[in-house]
Amino acid sequence: MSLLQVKDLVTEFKTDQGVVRALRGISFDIKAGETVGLVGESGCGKSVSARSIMRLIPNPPGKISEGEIIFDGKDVLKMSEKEMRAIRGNKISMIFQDPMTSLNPVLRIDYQLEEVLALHQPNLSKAERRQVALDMMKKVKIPSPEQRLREYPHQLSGGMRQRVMIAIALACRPTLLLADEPTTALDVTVQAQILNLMAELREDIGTAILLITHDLGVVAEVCDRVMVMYLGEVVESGPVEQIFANPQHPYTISLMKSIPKITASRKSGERLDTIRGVVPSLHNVPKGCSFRERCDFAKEVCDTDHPELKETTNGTCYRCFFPQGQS
Amino acid sequence: MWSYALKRIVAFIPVYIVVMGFITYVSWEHMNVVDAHLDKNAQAQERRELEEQLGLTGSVFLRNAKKIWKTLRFQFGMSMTKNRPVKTVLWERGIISLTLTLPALFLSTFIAVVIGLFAAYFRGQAVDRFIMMAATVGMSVSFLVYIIVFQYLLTFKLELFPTYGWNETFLDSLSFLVLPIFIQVLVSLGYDSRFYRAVMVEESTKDYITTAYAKGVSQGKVIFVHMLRNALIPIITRFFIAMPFLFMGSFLLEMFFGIPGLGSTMINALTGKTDPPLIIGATAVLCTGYLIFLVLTDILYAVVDPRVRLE
Amino acid sequence: MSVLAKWRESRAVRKFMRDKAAIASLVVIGAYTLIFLWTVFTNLDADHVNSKKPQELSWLQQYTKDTGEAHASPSGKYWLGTDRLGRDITKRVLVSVNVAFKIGLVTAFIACFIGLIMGGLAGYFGGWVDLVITWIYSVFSSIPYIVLLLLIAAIFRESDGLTGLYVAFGVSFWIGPARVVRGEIMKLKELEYVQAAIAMGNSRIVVLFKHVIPNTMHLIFVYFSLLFIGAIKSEVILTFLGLGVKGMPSWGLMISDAKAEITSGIWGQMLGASLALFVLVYAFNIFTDALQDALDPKHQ
Repeated sequence: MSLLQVKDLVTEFKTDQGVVRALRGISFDIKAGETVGLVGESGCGKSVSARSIMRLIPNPPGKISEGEIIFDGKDVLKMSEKEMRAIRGNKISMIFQDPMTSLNPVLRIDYQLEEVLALHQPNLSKAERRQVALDMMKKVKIPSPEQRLREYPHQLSGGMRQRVMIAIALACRPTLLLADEPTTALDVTVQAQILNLMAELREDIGTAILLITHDLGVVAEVCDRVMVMYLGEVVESGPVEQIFANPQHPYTISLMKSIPKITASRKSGERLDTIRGVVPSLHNVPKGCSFRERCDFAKEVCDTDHPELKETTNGTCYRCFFPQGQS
Repeated sequence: MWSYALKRIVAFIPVYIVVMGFITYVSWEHMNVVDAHLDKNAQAQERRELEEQLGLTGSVFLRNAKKIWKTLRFQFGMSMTKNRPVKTVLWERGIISLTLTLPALFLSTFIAVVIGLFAAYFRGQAVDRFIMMAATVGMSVSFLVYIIVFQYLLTFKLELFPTYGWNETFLDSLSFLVLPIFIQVLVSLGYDSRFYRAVMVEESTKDYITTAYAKGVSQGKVIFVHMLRNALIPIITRFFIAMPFLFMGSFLLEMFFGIPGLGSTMINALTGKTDPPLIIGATAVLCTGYLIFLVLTDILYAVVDPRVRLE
Repeated sequence: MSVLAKWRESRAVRKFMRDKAAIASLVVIGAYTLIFLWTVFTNLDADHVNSKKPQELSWLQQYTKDTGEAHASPSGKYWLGTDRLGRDITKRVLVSVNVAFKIGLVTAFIACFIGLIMGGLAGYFGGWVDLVITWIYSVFSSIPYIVLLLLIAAIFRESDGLTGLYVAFGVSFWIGPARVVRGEIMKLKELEYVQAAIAMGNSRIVVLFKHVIPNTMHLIFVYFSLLFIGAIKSEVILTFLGLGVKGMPSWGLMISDAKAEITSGIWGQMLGASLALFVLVYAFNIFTDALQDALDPKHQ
């Protein structure tokens, strides 16, 4: 029984040039305790997916127009705002990309951390709250936690702020953590620290994690399963080892190929592989397969028919008429 | 903090000297003081006497240097039109001006912040667009027109308020203040609501707001605790910056409603029977007030915004 | 970078064009401009007009002529009625556009020009240039606006109304653009393309004029629009105080006259002048908003 089941989710936005469907009917699920990676280029809908799950899509101009999001057996999309609020920060938490701007600059760290406890665990006394906050700060390995709690966000470095964000997100021991590119804005060394931290906490608290990233290396290290998105759709998904060893969808294959390899030979003339073309605009979604323009293996049917997600025996699925993996 | 304030004040001194020098010079030399205070049929003899009395004889440079020196020592002398010490006149009339401008500022800020919050909350929807249109219309009507029309409607036609006048004690004068304060608030509402709405909108698009929602915080708390706390910074700043000008009052309203405040007194000192000592004294006060509030605002900034450190 | 600026401009233009209110405001401003041009090309000089007989004058030139019916009510003949001297109010309202535009254009131009230079030099060169200019700026901004205006207007009291106003407004209004330009240039100075241009060997002055200043123009445009209206509104108040325009009709003058009339139930002049002023100011406000929307993506 999955913790989270997303079915045919469609999220649209009103723009100056018409209504745009950022999510064009995505479906996936996440089981308790597992870490799922969500990769894709900028604009493919990764962030929108996470925000849709939390119902954080701003209502003008956005709208979740179709689909179901079943969390813990209940459809999130049918819940009242009050019920949703009880879930946010409590059962499902989210951390964001830019730690520099994600914390309120005029409120102290202790306020921001304890706020989430006060909201969802009202039975705690003030002293107990403070203790939990302190514990969380220690768990995320922030030095001098008592002092830090009394400080303001601008007094902490980017890495530390992100740790605080994680502390806030995990304070109520959620069963699902949505991490929207949590390390993209950080230095590489800090990145490693944060990822390790998340892995440890996952062991400790048992949270399932949806890790949104554009960095395949991170996925390989940390995730159990991975989903690849393109232009608002899931085009391939499956266990990490499978997808990395034997990608099926041409887009996934290109992504794998375009990772610079340190072991690549220095033959003169050898260049970085790239994917030709550009991502089509969401205002002009191509008919048929969305990847058609950039695909080296497309045939006529790809122009006219839109491929559906096809499941295979080893737990992967892909959305392609002519998958290019080794069967 | 005190060293910061001191530094600012010291830096301002040369500015002050130049400003007061300029004002002193122009007020005495270019405002036709002598003509304004002479009888229509005055003889040359009387004219010379008056000039001597006013210290307008002798070398231009010397006489102005003397006057400027006096000004810098905050010795403003006697008002030529009120025949009382300038300082007294400034104080008395300034207070009267304040009874109009201070309540008006509080009211208009409060109302405009609420309107701005409201509009930002419903950003893009019909309510917001309507409010913005109304604010723009409000801001496009001339102050003069507001005064004339409302004075006509509410005092003349409907006789709801006294047109004109002032009483000895403050309490008696309250009824004279209602309409002017009302008009002042109305005039400011247009500009202010637009500004505060922009502030709210700017804050509402920031990332930390999304984080707050993601924590399960209710909309009310997000707006009034998270957002407002940040929006307070520009709100308070704007409120504070308006302060030094309150003392001078709203001269148009004072003129139309016969309120003996500093504003109308200043205008009369500048346009009718010119009164250089008064002009100089008032400018000195306003200039100093401006500086003080500038420094206070910076300090306030540091208090309200934890990110700011005074250099 | 100038190519990028052009691209940005065309995107701004396209965004502007999509805003219906903005187009409407542009149409209104255009209409007023046409009226202004009409008054420019018609000889409206008071001496000239007064020396001729009514039959020799064009429709507009009759604005100072006594029609013989003082305080006539609005009718088909005189759309807004006549004033206490029998002059056709509608004509006077139209002629007032001349003064309004002259003041608006000249003031906005002077203030923006001075502001651009001062702000540009201060922001770009920093150091003691900035110190001196900021000091000058402090001097001007610490004198209460109205005091400054009246003092300067008084100095020029003798000469014909307009020069004094130009100087007074120019001197009072330049600080807005200057402050904004200085701030923007201080930001732009740090951007890489500026440093690249200097590194390529361009002289600093050339870089200032070719790369930096063009990128402040969007601020100047907005300020120009704001000051145009600011000057016109201030003129109305100054004229009311007796220090503004003399000789030519202006809305300020008309509103001033109308004040006494309305208690006798005569609304024509009040309505005409205030409406004409309002529509122009409102149109400009909408225009300025749209301008800011189009040029600065963050503006809401």
